[in-house]
Amino acid sequence: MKTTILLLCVLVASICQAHCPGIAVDESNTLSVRIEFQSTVKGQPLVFSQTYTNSFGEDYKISAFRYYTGHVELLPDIHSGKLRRDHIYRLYDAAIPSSWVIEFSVLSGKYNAISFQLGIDSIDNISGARGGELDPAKGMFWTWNTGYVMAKLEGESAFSNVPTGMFSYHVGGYKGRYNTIRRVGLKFSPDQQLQIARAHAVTLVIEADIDKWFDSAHKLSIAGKSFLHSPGEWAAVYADNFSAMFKISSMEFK
Amino acid sequence: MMRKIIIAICVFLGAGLFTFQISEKEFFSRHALSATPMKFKIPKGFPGPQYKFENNPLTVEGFELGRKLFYDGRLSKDGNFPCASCHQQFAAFATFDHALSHGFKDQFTTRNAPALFNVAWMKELHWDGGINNLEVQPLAPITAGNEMAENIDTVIAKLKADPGYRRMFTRAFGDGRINSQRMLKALAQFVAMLVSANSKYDKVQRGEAVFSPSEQLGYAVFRSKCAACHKEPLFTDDSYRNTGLTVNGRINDYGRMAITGNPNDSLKFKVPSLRNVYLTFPYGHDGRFYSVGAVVDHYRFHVVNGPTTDSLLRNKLNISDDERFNLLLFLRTLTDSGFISNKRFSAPPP
Repeated sequence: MKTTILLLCVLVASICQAHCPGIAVDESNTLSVRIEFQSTVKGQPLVFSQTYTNSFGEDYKISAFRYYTGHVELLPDIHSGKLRRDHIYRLYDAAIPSSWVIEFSVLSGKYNAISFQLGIDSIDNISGARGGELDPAKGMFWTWNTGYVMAKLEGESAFSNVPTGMFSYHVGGYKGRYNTIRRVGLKFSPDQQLQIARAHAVTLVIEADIDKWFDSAHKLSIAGKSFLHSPGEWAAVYADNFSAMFKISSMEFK
Repeated sequence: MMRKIIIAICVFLGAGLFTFQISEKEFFSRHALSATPMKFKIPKGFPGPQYKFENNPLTVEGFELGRKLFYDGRLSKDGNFPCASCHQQFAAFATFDHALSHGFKDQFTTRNAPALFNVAWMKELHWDGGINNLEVQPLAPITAGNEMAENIDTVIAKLKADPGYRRMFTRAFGDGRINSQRMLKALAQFVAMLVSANSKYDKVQRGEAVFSPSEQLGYAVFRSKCAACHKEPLFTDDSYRNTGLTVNGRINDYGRMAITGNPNDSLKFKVPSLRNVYLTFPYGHDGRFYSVGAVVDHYRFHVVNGPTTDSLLRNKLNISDDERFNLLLFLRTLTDSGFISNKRFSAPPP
């Protein structure tokens, strides 16, 4: 009887550790991770009212930049499998600073990279009415062709071919070859790897350079396409550029 | 003593785990929920439903909340367009006598409002199948500028301002929180319960009635000419097909292709159920046919072949005048008068 209870206890505790960071995890063995997502243009923090110029010589101003992240993982340097953090999705909004920070804890150890998903798993695109970050009222949901908008970039440009002079890219779609879910992996430098192994806390600043939205894997001028509000081939193309925007700009250790 | 502590720790950890696991997807407060469970009955001979009721436990209170929402104009911008304005019970929840429905500021929709019954068996919704889950369907008409023209936040604010709704949400979900998820779950409960399976046809299947000789002959015609797409017992196979209709140049609706981006889906629309067909006129995705006979005649004489026209219709349907006469009599046996007079589905008392 006693053994059974003990076994049960161990089981429950271990499930708890795996699923509920913060509960029953020994403090001395944990690494607190803080991620700050930043929006930049050519290395400088995004300013909404400022006019920028992309690599095609097109002017642009940004009025909205929002995207979903999820499944954040730190990758151990040995082949012990991925350390999956959780299934929590977060909606980053360049206009809402409180949405820029993600905090969680993992077991201390040697890690050599961080990885996260951009977008919402297909299963969560087909499972009906959701709440929290996935509430359709957040404005990241297509009501006429069910699915989440994974990323949204809006602004204005003289080169826009939309009558209002706006450009608007809503990138989404979870089906087959037009899937827009992307996983970003960012490697730590050898020095960062050494430091994170010894640290109790790490703060990562990850920046997304909006200039690359137009020009990275694909060349996508504003004049060429100013408006995208549906899943499909174009959405997948923009998703490629979007996922290439991210890099680690700094890591601080404690 | 030690054992007691261990048990206590176990209970504590277990409770913590439980709380965590239900917190993400659970939209109702289990501990406070005293709602009355309700059962979804699958009519004899029907397959299992597509809608996943396990993610939205049916309750009397949830259903009644959904019913109130369905008939509430506050879900629309100017208050004039509840769901029920285009989905009228006496028309089997289609729009009576309207090729296209009209919404906010006298604007027309671009498609004929589909009848709402047996939707729990549909894999996807809308003529183009763009909606992949019953729960999120209401968001389309609510936010469409030419239909209810409202935004989600405003709808929720209007509901929150009404103490009656706060009471109903509490009864349905265990506490008074009002959000889009709960609103949509409640609406789904009401709409999923709109089951129509008690027509004369059903009674004949159950051995409670018999077809007249003409109806029997019409049934034979139906089975040989129509049933491949309008498959029993739902009278649709839930597929998308091009039935040889020309494009209406004012609307330029290419159907399912807009959803899939696949040219092979050009001009394909969802096969509608033929249940209650005599209540749901006009017919076709844009309501261009004003009688059942006109639809049958389209298949007899007027199918226009294009690259995606359905192979079953490319040579038109060979139905004689006599067969047509009997077929129409059979189709009348699909009217479920009990369904359209069922008080549980009508506007709730104020």
